[in-house]
Amino acid sequence: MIIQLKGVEKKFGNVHAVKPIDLTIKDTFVTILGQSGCGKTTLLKMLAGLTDPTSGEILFDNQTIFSRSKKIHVKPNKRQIAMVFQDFGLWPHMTVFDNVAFGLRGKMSKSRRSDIVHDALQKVKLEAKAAMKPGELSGGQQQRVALARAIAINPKLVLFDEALSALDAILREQMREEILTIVQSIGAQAIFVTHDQTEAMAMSDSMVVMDSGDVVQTGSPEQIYHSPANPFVANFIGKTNWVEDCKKMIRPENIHLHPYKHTTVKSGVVKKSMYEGDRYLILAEADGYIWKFYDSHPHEQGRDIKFYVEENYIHSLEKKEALS
Amino acid sequence: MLVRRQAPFIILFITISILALLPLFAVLGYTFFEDGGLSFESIRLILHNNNIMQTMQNSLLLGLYVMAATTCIALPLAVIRTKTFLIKSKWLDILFLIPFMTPPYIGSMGWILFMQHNGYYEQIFTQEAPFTFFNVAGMVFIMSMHLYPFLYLMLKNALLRMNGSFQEATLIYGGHPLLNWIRVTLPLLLSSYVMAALLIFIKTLAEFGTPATFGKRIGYDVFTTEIHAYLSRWPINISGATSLSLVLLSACMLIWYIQNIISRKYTYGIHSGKSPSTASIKDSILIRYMSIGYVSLILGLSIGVPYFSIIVTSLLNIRGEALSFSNLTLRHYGELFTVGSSSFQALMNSLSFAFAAATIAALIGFCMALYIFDAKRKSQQLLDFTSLLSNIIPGIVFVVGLILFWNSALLPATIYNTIWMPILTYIVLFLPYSVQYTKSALSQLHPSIHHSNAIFANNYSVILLRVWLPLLGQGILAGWMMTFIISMRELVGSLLILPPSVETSATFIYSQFEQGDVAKGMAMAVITVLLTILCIFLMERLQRKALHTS
Repeated sequence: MIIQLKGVEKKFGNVHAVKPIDLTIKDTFVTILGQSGCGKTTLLKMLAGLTDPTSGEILFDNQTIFSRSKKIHVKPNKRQIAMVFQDFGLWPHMTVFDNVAFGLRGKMSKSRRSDIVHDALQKVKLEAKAAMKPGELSGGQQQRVALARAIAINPKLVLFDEALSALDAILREQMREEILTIVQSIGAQAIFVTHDQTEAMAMSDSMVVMDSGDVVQTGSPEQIYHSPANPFVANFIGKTNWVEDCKKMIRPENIHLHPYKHTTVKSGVVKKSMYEGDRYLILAEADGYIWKFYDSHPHEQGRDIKFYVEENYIHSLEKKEALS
Repeated sequence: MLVRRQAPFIILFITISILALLPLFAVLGYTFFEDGGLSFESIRLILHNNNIMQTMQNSLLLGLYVMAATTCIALPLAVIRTKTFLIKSKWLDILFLIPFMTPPYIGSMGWILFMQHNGYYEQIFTQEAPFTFFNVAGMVFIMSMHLYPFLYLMLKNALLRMNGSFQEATLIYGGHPLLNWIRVTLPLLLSSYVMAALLIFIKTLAEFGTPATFGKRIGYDVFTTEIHAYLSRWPINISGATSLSLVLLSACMLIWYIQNIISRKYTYGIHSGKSPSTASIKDSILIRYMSIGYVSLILGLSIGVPYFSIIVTSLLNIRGEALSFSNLTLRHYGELFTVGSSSFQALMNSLSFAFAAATIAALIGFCMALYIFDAKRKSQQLLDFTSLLSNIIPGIVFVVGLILFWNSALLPATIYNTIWMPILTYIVLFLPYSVQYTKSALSQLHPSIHHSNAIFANNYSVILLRVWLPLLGQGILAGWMMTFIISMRELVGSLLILPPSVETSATFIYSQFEQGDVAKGMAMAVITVLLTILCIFLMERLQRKALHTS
């Protein structure tokens, strides 16, 4: 499905929650990334039809589903979408089965409904819990029920609103993979809203980065990581070494402790070594800047150190700004 | 398109206008418009009447006294219930609800029977009381014994919320416990206290039952009794009643406004996620005995004495004779339940009016609450405000308005002088309960439930039947019960608005107490409070169940 936003904006009184956005989304897995309060959830809710844009148009496959000027407003339940919420949004008084079956009510016979629900619960490996109430399940299991409810109605698009934020770290990584597999299996598209950059990069074909109501950059995770459009994106996604005050930057993995081709050498003093589980992040001072890079073992504080910067990977932000 | 989208709002707004807004405008209109022109004559007359100034002073002083007295009773109680071993005794809160839910006129009658000349005090202690009870202090005492639970519950909840990490942070960073109390607890408590105390003030101004029974004996007139007198005593003075109603209304609105400002300015989010550990509380023997003693004393005075009086009176064969088993009889209850007797008819009227009012109010309240939802839009806020009007505005003002409105010559048809009049009155007076109970049930749900409904439900009736009714059912039922019990024993509206020769249990108790068979009246009173207590327990269970499932 091709999702088009034309001049979509949202104001709450005087607050410009989402500034006018023009955007076309074609990829299967898309992430909207930003800090809390940047307008990403509002944008998602406008796509779902839970909030109306103040102005602009939204099109799904060239069909207008919202337009203030044309007075078109397709209701959320008619947009062929599903949604998974941070706090799950399961109905506490219904069993797991009834929660998943809810979206199918009035659409098909009881036996077909039952088949689909069992199928969906099987996909999320929760068939055994069908008769339980959401309150009796763990957070991860509740999120699976929410996922089953979403895929049961066979949507073209599934929206995830900070869907993994309420889960603990291990469960989160496990669910990432599962969500991707399941959404792919029903041939749907997915849009994730998150503030977690690792999650965003791991889960998506393309990313939409937002900052205070504006879309600041779109592109594949690799593009955004290697050529951020502005200092905000550079700092927000991954670790950054600034070469000239907010004008040129280089990522830590492009600085080495041994000479390579096209490298320039710097001499500095070790400030700190921080253990990250699989490697150490070394902070060293040189030319009046703090440089970050990785090594497999710690370096003693105050020691002199030589490191090599790959010239080709120094990314200039000024050029980008000039282009845009 | 526009009309269709706004249809729910329009329907609800018309409903609330007919119920509450138009009667209020009728009061305004009657006071300020004379012969088609604006006139301030009647309000000027009222304000120049010396009696009225006295009444006003009486009302306001009474409010202040009751505020002070309830504070003295409720604050220690709240501290005892949150800081001593009694923190675990949740059942106490149900007991404390009983005096608050007891109709004030019944409590007041209980105290009159107890303290009057040859009353139960003199019979039990075989001597006169060492102090005079029948003065303003006695009246303040009776009203405080009715209203303190309200203040107590607000203070207790505020203190409980403060227990968690707040308490721990104060223990770590603070100094002397007394200083901690003054620097941290009191300022955080202040907004809850001021809000509750001002509501007590409004409730005292609006109170009719105690002034009508006890106040009448000591010649202490207040707003409500004066308005009632204007409308029921010859010569009937409607403009006097409306003018006085307006003064009362303005006073209450002003207090409510002040309360709003204070609560907006000084309310902090004092929810802390962690609940306090209650296991570590170890009190000294002295504190234990003092706590138990204080709680028993308050319960004895607020429940024990008045209930003793009304129960004994309802059981006495011959009043005036000694309290002995040979003098006890169930005769009065027998008469009460004799089919066809005036008392039985009154009881049945009360039950059926209350049933109808509670059911209609629950329905309207449910629709209102669903529409108001999170009160973000202007139209939602407007309905929220108007549906809660009768919480702020004294019942008697609405009653005056309803009488004027439904007697208006402009109406093509009227329900005045039919049994629908009291039913409508009860709906108007107690609609806030059904709205609030449903709203609070709604607010306990995750906000994304609404989004889930919007995305997954295929039509609105599915949402209504499968989600809202099962999820909010308990809240609606609790609101229904609340409306039912307070409608059943409502006094001032019933006195003024009932069609001729129709009685309810409340007017029956009142008239039997004032001039008739007190024992019969008290038998009815016992039935009323028994039903009330039954409902309190049922509601308590319902709400506990509701909390359990969500």
